[in-house]
Amino acid sequence: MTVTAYERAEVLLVEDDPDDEELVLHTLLRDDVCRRVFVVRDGAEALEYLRGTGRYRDRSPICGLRMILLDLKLPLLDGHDVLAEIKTDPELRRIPVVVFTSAAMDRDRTRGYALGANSYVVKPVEFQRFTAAVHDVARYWLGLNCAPV
Amino acid sequence: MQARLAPPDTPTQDAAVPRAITLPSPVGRVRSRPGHRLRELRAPLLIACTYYPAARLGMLFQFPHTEVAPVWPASGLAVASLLVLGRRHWPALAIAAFLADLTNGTEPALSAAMAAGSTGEYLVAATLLRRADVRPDLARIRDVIVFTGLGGLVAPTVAASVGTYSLWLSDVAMTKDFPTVWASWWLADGIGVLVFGAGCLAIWSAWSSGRRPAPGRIEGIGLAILTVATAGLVFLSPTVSPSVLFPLAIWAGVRFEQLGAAGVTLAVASVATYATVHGSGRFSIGTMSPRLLPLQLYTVSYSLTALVLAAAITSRRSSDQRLRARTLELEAKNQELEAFTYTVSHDLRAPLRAIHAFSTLVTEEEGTRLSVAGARRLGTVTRNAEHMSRLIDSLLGLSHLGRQRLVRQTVDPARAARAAAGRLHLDLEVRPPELAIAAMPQCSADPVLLEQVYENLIGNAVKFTRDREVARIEVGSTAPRGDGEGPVYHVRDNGAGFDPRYAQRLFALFERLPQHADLPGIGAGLAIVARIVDRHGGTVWAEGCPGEGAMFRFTVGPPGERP
Repeated sequence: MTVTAYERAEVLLVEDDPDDEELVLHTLLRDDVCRRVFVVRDGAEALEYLRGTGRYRDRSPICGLRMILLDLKLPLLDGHDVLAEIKTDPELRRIPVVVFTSAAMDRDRTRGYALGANSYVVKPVEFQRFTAAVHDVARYWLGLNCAPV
Repeated sequence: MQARLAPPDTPTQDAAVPRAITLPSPVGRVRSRPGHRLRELRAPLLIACTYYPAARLGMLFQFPHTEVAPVWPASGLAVASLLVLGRRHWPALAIAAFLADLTNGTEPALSAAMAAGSTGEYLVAATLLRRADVRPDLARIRDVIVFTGLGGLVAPTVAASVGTYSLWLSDVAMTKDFPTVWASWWLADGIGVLVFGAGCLAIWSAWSSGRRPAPGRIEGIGLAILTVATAGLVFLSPTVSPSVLFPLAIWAGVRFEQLGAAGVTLAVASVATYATVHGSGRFSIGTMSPRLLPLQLYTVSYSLTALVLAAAITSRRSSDQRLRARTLELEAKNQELEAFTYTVSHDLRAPLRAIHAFSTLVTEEEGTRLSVAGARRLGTVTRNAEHMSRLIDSLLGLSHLGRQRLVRQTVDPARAARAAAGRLHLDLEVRPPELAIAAMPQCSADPVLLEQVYENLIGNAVKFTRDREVARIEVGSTAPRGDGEGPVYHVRDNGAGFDPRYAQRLFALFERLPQHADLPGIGAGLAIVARIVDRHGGTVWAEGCPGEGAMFRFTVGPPGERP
């Protein structure tokens, strides 16, 4: 789902669950935290988008991407694998990756940080807390945090 | 006794060596096809064909020109084969025993009587051992002892009595009196069962289980050569004590277990008997009969040493193996549980989030267009999703507690209680309770978890004292209940209390007493307390009466306990 011209997205949302996608977008748009979100549905597509390969062969260079919101449980290429690919790629490793997942297990968290995640946020079940979490994450990474030059 | 006596004119060197190694497993019972009938005959044939040479071998061991045999290997072979192949094969033994005596020059009637006595002994032995649940592999010390008692001491009285009585009735002249002949017969059969029976059983179980002794072939060959050489040396020399052979029994039993024990015993018993009979070695002093008892006692103690040691080693090894198997099983179960927790945490939460979010969204955005009943029902959906979310969270928290590593330190419980109270923000209560935290003896506990215990207990007390004019919560401790126990810590309140009949149910997960249904909570707090206390090796219990407050008390395991 392209919310904006995808080369100029500030947030890349990697999310396979359409419900969660809708809730994240709803929060970001409603609170007017961020309007430039690009959504991909699996890990392989995320890497293609970031690298400008495959279906994104013809895209212009991305600019202004300030955060990747990454779900861990993804089809084809798992979130951990995507994270590892991003953080070992000299071109991509600077982009902050916020793991945003239902997986509350210690070992997922440990592994996420070991692979180089910049933040790890567990998706709350209750809607108010969920929107608060999305809101806070976006405010911090798009507002407070100074993006890499 | 004629059976065991080599007549002066009968050469004894034609006796064959018993070949018990080829005992097959019990044969099938299907009788419809001719092939099966032939197969049915295999076991009895095998028994007869091994018993006969074993009996003749016993005659080889006899003292020349006497009626006394120190060892009767055939009894061991017979008992072992009935145990392993089944008692229904006794006729084969009877025929072989009869033929062995008959071909030894004994008259038919006496041969039949002695064969009947022997067969009776074997059947009695096999039946008693089966009844006593002796496993043929003799892998437990109990089995070795029962095997010695029933097979080596009790059962041979049958053959000794029948045989000696038949001899006494017949016209064969006996050179000894009745009790001496009876005793020699009994001892010879007993040792036969003990030494050769155990040997056959060991070989059979090694063969049928396919399990080979852990040490290599080279060590086995070394042990065999050393045993035969030392035994030869000991029993050729009149001065060397036979006790020098005992270390070999220990070596064999410890390293090669039953098979080794049976092997060295067989070797030593054979060499000792042969040498003593032929007049050499420490036991060949005086006339024939007095030599027998020391030889027999030596053989019995040698055999028992090796067998008991082997059984002890086997028992320990198998219990080690069982323990390792259990540990693996437990680890697998733990992993299963973790996978389950993962599923709960991930797969159940996602749909629940959608239910909660979209029902909330509809209420928020379209609430005005809904009917009153519709809005209320949608609210019920949202509320239940919230409740379920809390249930899942506490389930996960509890499971996390079970897996979390306990980090014990010396902790001041009063400090933990104060920290817990701080987190509860008691001053924000409509009527803040009076909280008194007494000085308490230190304990060894996980500080984070102890704080959690106090948070849950104090939080509970706050909840149940809300309707009191003055809510009092007291945190303290009392002296240990007994030696080796730590102090008993408590949290007491003057709240609603509870019916003591439900004292135990309070700690069950999601258990809420009906009279408290209107209070917030899902019934996980006390379950978490119980789990934490349990992980510390302590106990937790509740005391109280309706309307008179409650006291929750706990220990955190023996003082000074370290992880």
